Amino acid sequence: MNNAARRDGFTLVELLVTIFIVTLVIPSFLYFFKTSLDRALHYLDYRYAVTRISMAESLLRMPVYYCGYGMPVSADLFHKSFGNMAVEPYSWNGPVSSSAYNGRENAQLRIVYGTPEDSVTASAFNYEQTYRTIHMSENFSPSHITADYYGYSRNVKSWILFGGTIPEPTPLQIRNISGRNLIVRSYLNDGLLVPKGDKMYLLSAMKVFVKGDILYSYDFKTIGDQPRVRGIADMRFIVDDDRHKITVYLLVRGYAKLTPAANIINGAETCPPELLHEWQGLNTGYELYASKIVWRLPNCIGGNFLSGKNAAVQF
Amino acid sequence: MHRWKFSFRKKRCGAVLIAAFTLMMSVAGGSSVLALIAANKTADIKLLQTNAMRRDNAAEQADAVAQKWLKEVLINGGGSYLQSFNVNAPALTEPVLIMPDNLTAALSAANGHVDIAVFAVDENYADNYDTAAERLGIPSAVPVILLVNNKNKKEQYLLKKYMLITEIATEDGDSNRKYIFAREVSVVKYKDVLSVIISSIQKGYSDDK
Repeated sequence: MNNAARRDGFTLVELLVTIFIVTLVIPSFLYFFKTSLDRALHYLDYRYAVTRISMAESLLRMPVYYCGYGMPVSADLFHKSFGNMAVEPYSWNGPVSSSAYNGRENAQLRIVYGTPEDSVTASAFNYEQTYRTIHMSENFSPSHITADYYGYSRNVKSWILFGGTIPEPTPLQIRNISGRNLIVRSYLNDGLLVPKGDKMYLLSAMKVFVKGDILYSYDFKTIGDQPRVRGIADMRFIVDDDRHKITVYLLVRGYAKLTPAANIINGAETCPPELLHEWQGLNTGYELYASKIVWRLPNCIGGNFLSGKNAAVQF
Repeated sequence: MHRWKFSFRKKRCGAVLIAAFTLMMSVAGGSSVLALIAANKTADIKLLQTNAMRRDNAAEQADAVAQKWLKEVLINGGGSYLQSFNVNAPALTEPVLIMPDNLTAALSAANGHVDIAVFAVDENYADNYDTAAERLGIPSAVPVILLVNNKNKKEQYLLKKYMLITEIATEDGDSNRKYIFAREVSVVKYKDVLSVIISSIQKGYSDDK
């Protein structure tokens, strides 16, 4: 071996020194790499959880806002306004309530609300004087509303709502549809008036609950339970009738099983005790994220001065 | 034929180093630009969310102030409003009551100086207000007499409707597009005493159908 060749290679000492330095550096590099990877995975997990929370929120936002729109809030008047029918959703205790589901307290939300339509009243509607006929500004899609000729309709598509009903909020049942005209029936008040230009809302009702890691809704306009958001571990609803508020507690998971030990619940301080008690001891392998949302119910207005009184409009 | 062999001792190393450095800087620069674009997009989304929340927040608070203002204007406003509480009262050609700006000035300042306009519209309006009423979705309701059975005694109330409108300017650059809170308000007169009943509320944009 000549001198030039010898200069180009490494000596054993150089190799040993290199191996020693690499041995020293690699663990810290690996530690840094693992920490970064863990952080990235946790952040991704957290983003998944936030997305799930947002999706669950969006499902409820509109129904909560228009909950109770154009209908009585008290249980008695609510039942009466829907002809005292003993079937859901008309038999519920008012536009919003929570009930037990699968043995879990307050785990099912039952909500009745209005869905805005394009049509408005083309002229003032007077229950007696206009022969129960409402003239509307637009034609109707048969998939949105249906008439029920026999009364006491169980179909929610046969009910409409108006925000400006006088003397009090009253749902109207559609008996017949003829072009832009609707023949309706009121079970609450015969002396009813709906002003000209009042926007029509469709009656909508929904149950929301969690079954096997999936958030379901049961919309009364369709059939069966509809899966809406995956990765929802639990959901509880506390309705405060007096203060027209609803508090929604959500427990969601991320995307991957990151925790071999018992459940880690992020934001556990926001959970009600019964929810914590149920989930803290379990080991699902997932990291859980808790969220608490408080919504006002701006259209669940109680304290109508006419509540419990029999009123008629005189013209 | 000359075979090129890497060695720090050869003169071409400088060129190799410069090329490697240039390549590295290009990659770093490219990554920085991409990161900046991603950060900007994220900030834009956050800004949109923040603006929407700010707008909702301002509208909710302004609506609460407006309710109090309307109650005070009608109940403490004196005889001028009582005159319109009559079944035979003529339709109003100027049905709008405008809330003074100073009542929402603090709210506007606390929510990024968003433009807030609050006004109440008497639903017994004349034909000249039809177009504006249609745009804002305000029904037309004449005052009516309610016969109320109270403990087997028939009492006569007079009911009149107002629409309380809270308009918030949107952040999308279109000055004509407003975010609107519209609240039904019933005012009941019984033996010259007025009581205000806050009722349903709708929300939407001024260009919604």
